[in-house]
Amino acid sequence: MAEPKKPISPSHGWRNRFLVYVGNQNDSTISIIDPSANRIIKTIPVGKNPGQVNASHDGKRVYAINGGDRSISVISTATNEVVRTIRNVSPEPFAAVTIRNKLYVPDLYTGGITEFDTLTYERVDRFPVANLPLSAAASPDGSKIYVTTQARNIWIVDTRLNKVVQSIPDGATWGLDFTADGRKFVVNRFGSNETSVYCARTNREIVSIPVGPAPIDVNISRNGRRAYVTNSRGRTVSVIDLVEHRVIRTIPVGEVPYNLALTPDSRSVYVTNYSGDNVSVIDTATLRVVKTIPVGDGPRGIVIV
Amino acid sequence: MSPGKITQQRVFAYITNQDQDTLSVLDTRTNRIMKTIRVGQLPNSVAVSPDGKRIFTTNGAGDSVTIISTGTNLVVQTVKGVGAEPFAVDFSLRRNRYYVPSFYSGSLFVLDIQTNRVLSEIPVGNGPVGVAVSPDENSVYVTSVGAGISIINADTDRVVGTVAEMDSWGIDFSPDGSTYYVNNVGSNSVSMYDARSNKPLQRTSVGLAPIGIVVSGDGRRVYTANSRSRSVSVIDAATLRIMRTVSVGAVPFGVAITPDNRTLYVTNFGSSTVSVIDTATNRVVDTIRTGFNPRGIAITPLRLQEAPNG
Repeated sequence: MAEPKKPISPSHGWRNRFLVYVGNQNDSTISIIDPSANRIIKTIPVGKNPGQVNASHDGKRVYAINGGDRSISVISTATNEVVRTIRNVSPEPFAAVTIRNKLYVPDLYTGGITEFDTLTYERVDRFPVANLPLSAAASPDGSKIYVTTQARNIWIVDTRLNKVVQSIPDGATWGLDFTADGRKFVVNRFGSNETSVYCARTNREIVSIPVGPAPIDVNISRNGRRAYVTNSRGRTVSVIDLVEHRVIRTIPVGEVPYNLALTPDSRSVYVTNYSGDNVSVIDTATLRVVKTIPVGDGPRGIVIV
Repeated sequence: MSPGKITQQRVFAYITNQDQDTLSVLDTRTNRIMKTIRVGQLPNSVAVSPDGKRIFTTNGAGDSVTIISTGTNLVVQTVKGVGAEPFAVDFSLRRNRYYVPSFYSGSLFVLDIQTNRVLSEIPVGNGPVGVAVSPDENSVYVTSVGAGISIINADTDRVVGTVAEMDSWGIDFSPDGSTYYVNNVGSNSVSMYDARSNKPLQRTSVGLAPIGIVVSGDGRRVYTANSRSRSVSVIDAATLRIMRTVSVGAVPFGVAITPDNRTLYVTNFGSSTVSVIDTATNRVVDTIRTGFNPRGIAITPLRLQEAPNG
């Protein structure tokens, strides 16, 4: 899922490279890929069914959201080991988003968000949001969380109040990402095979662009010019030009492409193929798959830090 | 009063413990779990064939269907090739078929009940979650979170119509096949449709995020599991009027009713329990601990002939 597009901070200086973390939902592991060689350098066991992975704002921790045993595994990116397990999160944690030192975890079936302090791992709050939340993205200033659902509408949570303050009428939506300047966001309409571009200030739609079948995840490049969309039933990734508002390329990838992530230098996109049990690496200059890397069983979540 | 041969039949409730990869067999006479059977990964639903001989679980992460004998409670076969994240099962015994919608494939898989071969894969749209075969076995209805309700002609295996209800989940028919009932998971309501015209007849608000639904065997009641409200709605099937809202456990997911229509069983995904409701008083009379995260539930169907050993 989309990570906030911060400039690469000095805190990254302690590690002069970035790594790709892939959650293998069906064998309960995280595959760690070194993008300089596009090889797996380590596979770590985590909790059961880590459907999503997210990173802390400073890049020092990766969180595996374990839907199958109600837990979150906290991984140190310095040692690539699990340093902590948060238990009894909620019945089916399905996504996560970090804002500064807070981790927000929507639950698919209770429809609530549980908020954790990432310094103490204490639970801070739990509040209701909506039916069947799938994905969550924070506005770049951290004041809002946008939650998409399998049911209907996009729900906007005010993070000072921990309350839904607005909803945007829609059908089933899935991935959502903001431009780095926070002025626009894009959202996938899972049911109608479109990616919509919204004005973030007014929450009004600017344009809706047809993509492939059953789009799940979307990520906007750091410069705000492109959006990459996984078409889960199309075995493809759509590349959208956000200036011209059109699909400029449809790239064949693996079976049931699920989540994707851009490298911090925006040169590559990594795509998990849930049924293909592999990761496709796309070169953003040529818009071609340059490598397919076998990972664990049922890869879904992916984060690059 | 039920016929004698029904009261003699042993009736079991079969419960999938999604995050334990198991199926619990519950004796409805004693309300005890007799056996727990290992199935495929993330069993999200269960159904019993109408002849009562086989139990089918769909295994969401195993991309498989596990088939268990009700006589021996042993796994007889694991069927692969049913797409990405199979989600539900229903049957046409007359056609020797069963139907499996798979969420990420966006397809309905049609399988032969004897050979377990995939006969066809019918594209239905994005995110199918539920399936119901009409009582005359001429149509198959598939609900979805993205593509409305697809209606498939069982003779041709083609989609012949779509009901534009964008957030449908549980679906069940009245026993006479004249109407069907659908949970609208996004708008917290249940809809009743005319099965001939596929036009909505009535719509009623229930609790939050209704998922499981069942129509009683006598056609008089509809029950919905309101996953975010810890409740079950008891609905008059003719008028769709809410008669009672019964409090159950956390995240009620599946509902099933005994063949004598006297007892309703509800899986509480969030509490790892099953609530037992007496349908005469609409009260919870028992709560039974299950495996972890119980989700699907099915009950031994009414049979005209007693099978050996139940």
